[in-house]
Order: sequence, then C-alpha cells, then structure tokens
Amino acid sequence: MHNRDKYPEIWAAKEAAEAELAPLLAERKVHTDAMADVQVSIAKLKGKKEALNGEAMKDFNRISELRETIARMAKAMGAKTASGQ
Amino acid sequence: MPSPVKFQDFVEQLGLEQHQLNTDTLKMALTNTLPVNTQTVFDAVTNHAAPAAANGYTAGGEDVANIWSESGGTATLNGTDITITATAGGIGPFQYIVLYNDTNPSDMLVVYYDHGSTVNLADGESFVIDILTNIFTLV
Repeated sequence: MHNRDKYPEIWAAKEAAEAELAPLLAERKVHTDAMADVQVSIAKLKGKKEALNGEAMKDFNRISELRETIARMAKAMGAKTASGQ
Repeated sequence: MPSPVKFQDFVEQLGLEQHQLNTDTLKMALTNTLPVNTQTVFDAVTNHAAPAAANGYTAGGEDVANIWSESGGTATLNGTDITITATAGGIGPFQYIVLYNDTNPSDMLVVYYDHGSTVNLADGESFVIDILTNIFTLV
C-alpha cells in the first residue's frame, strides 16, 4: 500500500509543508545565486591579490635570513628579547 | 616570553573570511597598555596606545612577512624576526606586542604577547621579537 493511503494525515501534512517550503527555497535561491555571482567577482580579486603576494614574497627567504642575522647581532649587543614559540 | 594570548574574536573572524593569513599583511605593534582578549580591532590611540612613531619605531608596528601553511592537518603561521633599534630619544615604555591584520580594513586583532616587564630602549639599544619556530599553530 502506498504511504499516501497508509498514512493519509501524515502524508497530507508532509505535502502541505513541502508546498510551503518550495517557494521559500525558490526565493532563497535568487539570493544564493546572486551571492555566487559576487563570489566569482571576489575570486577574481583574490587571484589578483595572490599574484601580488607572490611578488611581495619572492625575496622572503632572504628577508628572513637578514632579519635573523640582524636579530642575532642585536642580541649579541645585549638586546632585550621576546621569543616566539 | 609567554605564549601568545588569542583575541577571542579572531577565531570567529577566521571563519567569516576576515583573515587571509597567507596574503594579508600582519603587523606586530608595541604598546604599554594591557590588551584585553575581548577586543576586536587594533587601536593605536587608546586600547593599544603606541610609543611615539619616532626614534626608530614605525607607526603601526612592523610587518612580520607572514606565511600560512599546513602539514598533517596542522596549520602554521610563521613570520620573520623583528629587531627594533632606538635612535636618539629612545623608544618606550612598552610591555606588550599586539599582532593584528593590517590588510583587514578594520585592522582586526589576532594575538598579543606580554613581555612580562616594561621596556625602555635608549639610543642604540634594540628589542628583538624572535619568532623561533612559529607564531602559532592551528590544529
């Protein structure tokens, strides 16, 4: 026996809930689609930022080495220090 | 130096895309005002009153040249050592170091450190923020 016939009251209530839900989801989808479009624009800007970061970090290893060297020299001259983990 | 103290808002903002820990510029700023871990944004005037931007100290603090990476499920924020050397006139007093996101339009906070005692730098003296292994990890 079909559930519609086996549980008519539950079935009807379920169909009523689904009928109310459908337009709410449709309305929500308009906004989530628009959000997805915005995300595409954000992704393009993020790509541009990533490229700039690549340029900004191209000398990272040397910057790190030089900063370690300067820190070591400063400590050798009695610098006060705050160490990380 | 003790472990970093997390600003509570940081973990929320991490999930709200306010921090890009690999491409945003994080800065360490000095202050002599005890930060409060419920604060949300960097404030060099009142909440994190800064030493004068002079005599070797740069307004807004120093860029840590941060890098964000992941291995085995653990993310690591790393950066480079920072040495601040005072010129004539000196720098200070300060006791705390605030790490904040300078790229974020609101300068949202990340963590702070308590050096444990007040520091004053005279002409020629330096203060080294030694990153050692990393700034922090996220498991």
